[in-house]
Amino acid sequence: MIKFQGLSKQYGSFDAVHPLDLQISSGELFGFLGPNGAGKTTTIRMMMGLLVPSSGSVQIDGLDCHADNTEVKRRIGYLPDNPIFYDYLRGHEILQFVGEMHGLPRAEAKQRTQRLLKEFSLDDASEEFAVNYSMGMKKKLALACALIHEPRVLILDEPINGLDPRAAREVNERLLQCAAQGMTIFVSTHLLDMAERLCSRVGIIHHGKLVATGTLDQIRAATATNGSLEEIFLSLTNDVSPTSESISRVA
Amino acid sequence: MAYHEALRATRVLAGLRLRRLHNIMTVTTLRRLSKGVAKGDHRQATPAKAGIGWLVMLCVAAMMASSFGNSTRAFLLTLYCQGNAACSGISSMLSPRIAAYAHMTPFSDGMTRGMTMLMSVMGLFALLYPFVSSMRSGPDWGFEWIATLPMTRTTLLCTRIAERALINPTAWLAFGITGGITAWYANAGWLTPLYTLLIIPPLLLLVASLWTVLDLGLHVMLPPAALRNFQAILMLVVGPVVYLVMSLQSPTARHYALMLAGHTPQWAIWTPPGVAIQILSAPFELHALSLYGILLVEAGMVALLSVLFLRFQLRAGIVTHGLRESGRSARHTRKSREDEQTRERTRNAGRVWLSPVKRRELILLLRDRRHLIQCLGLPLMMVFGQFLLNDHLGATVMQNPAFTASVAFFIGAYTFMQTVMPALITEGERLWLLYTFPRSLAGVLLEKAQFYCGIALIYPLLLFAGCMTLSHLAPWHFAVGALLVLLGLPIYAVIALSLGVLSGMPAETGRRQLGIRYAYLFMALAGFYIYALASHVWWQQITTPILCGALAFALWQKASDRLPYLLDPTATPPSQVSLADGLIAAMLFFVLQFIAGYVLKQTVHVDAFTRVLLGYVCAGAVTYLLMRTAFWSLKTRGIPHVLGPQPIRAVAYGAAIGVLCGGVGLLYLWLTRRYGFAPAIPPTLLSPSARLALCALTVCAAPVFEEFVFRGLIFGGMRRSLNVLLSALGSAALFAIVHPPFSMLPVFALGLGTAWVYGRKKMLLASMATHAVYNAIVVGFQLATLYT
Repeated sequence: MIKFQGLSKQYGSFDAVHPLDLQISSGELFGFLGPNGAGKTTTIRMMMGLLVPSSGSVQIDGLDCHADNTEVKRRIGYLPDNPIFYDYLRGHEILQFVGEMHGLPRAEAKQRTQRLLKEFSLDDASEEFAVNYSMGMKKKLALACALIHEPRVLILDEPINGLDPRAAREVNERLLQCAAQGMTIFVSTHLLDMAERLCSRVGIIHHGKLVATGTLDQIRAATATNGSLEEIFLSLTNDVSPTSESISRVA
Repeated sequence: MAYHEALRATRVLAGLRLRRLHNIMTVTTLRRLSKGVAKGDHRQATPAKAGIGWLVMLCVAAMMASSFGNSTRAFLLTLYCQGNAACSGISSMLSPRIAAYAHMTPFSDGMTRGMTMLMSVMGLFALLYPFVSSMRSGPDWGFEWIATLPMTRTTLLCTRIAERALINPTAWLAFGITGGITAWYANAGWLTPLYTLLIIPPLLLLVASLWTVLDLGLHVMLPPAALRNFQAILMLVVGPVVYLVMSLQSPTARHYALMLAGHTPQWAIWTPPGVAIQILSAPFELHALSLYGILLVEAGMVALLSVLFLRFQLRAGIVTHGLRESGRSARHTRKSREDEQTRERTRNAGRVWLSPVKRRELILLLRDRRHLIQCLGLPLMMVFGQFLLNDHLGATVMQNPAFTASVAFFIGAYTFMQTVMPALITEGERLWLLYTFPRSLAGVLLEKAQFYCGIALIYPLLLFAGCMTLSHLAPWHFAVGALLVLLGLPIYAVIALSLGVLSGMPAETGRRQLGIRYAYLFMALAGFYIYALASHVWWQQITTPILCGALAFALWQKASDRLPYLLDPTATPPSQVSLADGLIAAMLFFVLQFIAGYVLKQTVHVDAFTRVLLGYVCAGAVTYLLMRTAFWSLKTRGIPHVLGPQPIRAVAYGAAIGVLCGGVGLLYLWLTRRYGFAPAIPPTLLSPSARLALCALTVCAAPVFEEFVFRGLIFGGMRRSLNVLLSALGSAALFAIVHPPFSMLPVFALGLGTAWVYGRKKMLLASMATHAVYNAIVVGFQLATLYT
């Protein structure tokens, strides 16, 4: 479903993302892990067509994300890490606007709005202006915006960041439900326990390079460690200082 | 000790605010991707802003200050002359004789009251302007954060008031100028600055206390929606205040201010502004000291009362609103939902023709009162204010259709500056939502511009309707103006949108300010159109919409080239040849012709036609060289080719079309001669060298250069975004308007023909052949028939 072919991005002489090769099949819940500043958001932006890849390409459902931008957007739903909404608009108005902009006729958009708001239990708050929502409510509303046009691929940037436990649990359950319905979900996060529980496969990115990819067992086998994902992650993304590295080489 | 703490806190906070002001004014650019990148930080840096911005602001501020000072002087002297027979017979208020008289006599009662009124108005302005310009419905972010510092709330409030008193440039200027002029005319001489500086702090304290009360105190009492409405209403109050100040300039409008001054009651001179004026008007008297004491006491009391009031208001905490406001209380939610649904159904039936984007804009316009007032209220107030300032304006608007059209267009253009130019910036941090839609950003922005164009048409239409019914001129006099305005407003909406996008503000920083240079540029362009509206020459009225339309198209091409790469400007592909290049080349061509003509006149001594020919050739060659160099260095794509496949056939084809166009030209010439409106041909044409020069010019030189510019660049640039027919029509129209009015029609036909040839053959040589053949036919015919 999602195919990265040598996707890379350079800013001048700085490599934000080294050539990335990855394949994610349909119905998978893929976790994209990495420390802050590793290149996760850059990769996601290239998938959304917001940034132009310096080389390589990423294809979703066989369509190139940069060239066939418009078609790709019909198939994907996007949740940013910090959803900011328009002032003076109520929750249900925003959701309906999103539905109509995706091409749904007005009655259909309205129906789906009401259904989604009920499912996310945002029903009571839908009359409030969206800017007054708490972080959890905003993320739920943004997730509803991403799901209203029933996309085939969901791209989530730090979905659980900033949520309280109950909201986090609700979002997780919703994601599992979507994956069960056959949606491909691409989650970028740095919360390892969530990744461990939810994702079928993970990929760990560090300084723009993919250092490990596969299911948890495969990674364990590849790195010859036996610990939790946290230990594996920390060992893989260790920034070794030059002096200690030279010492370890000499020793 | 608590006082030491308070003083230190005030110093630190005031210093912080000063530094922030300083940063705002002199933002230095961080080259986006250079040094910060090594740390892995590839996010966008602070947007680049030319270091000259603060200089411009300083100049503008200086200009405004000096003009305000002038009008205050005039006001003061008028007040002096009101009660004084000595100035009868002297026309100008600012004449030195009156000034000398004013210096000699002490301040009369009327003068004191008048200046008190002015000072109070300044105080009102200094109070309202910062409050209204900072749109907040909650406490200042700074205060929330500062409130976590280990200080008592009273200390906090006092430092807040003190800090605002010190750092308030508007108030310093306003009070300073008014007070300074008062002191100057009261013979304070060299001590004027000292006196002014002495009386300003208590007044600032007063203003700061009231401002803090409004800011912090009210937000606790009113729900955010009511507070925003209150702010919107206050914004309406600031307008007349500004007008009052501006009206001091002109003698006719000054009488409003004088009326207000006359009505100021006697007790007003004991209010703090009045006391300040009293001190300044009699600076060397002994009781000035006691008056100063009174001023200090009054200001101090107001500050004390404010602090007490705020302590009372904030006793339950700074943020006391747990309500999630939505404009309706939670009780009614369930019941009103059903009513809302039925109402929506009836509303939606009528609103089918509005797309989602336009509907969203409409809802936002209706709910965001501040935006509504900016959009619809301010233009109204501006125009109404002008009517107040100038008594004859009303009559002129009614009787002069050109003037009506200008006013109507100006209102529309001003609305665009407020609403369409910041169209991209107001999306701000919500741009991520627009990016998830399967639509281009350019399309969404165009829809926004369309919506605001519709809104902006309201006032011009009302104006025209009013003028047509009330004026004693027949309504059809206004028709031409109305048509031009209706044509011009959508064009300028597109120009405003393009300038807003090109102004280069990265949309994600959430800054709400537009580069002020672009606002000025837009208003200058609007002025150009208004010039055309006001003129009575028919071909100016036709050419200006065409030119502005071409400009709008060119700017929008550039802007929509830039939009897909908004977040990734380094990845922008090299530009393609666009209409903007064509327009620049055409302008360059004409300017160079003028220059070459002038230079040749001084240096070479030949007859006029040879000179024109030489100038033409030089200008053309230089233009061509410059454009090619620019294209080469910018690696532009889509440069027009002179040669191509099968040149002989293409030239023959072009020549054939040229014969066709020549036939059209001959027909036109015959018709004009028959009906007698051909222009007279000057007799100097008879000399053989002149005729040779003319032939060389029209058959050899003109086709080469004009084809490159008009077909290669202009037609090619338009062809990139439009189909053949529209591009041909557009490029032919532009080609026609640069020729003298008499030959516009056949030249338009030629333009169509050459565009057709170029479109088919993609070779400049072919269209050059067309042009040459046409010129040969037409000019040859005219020269030949000269002898008959």
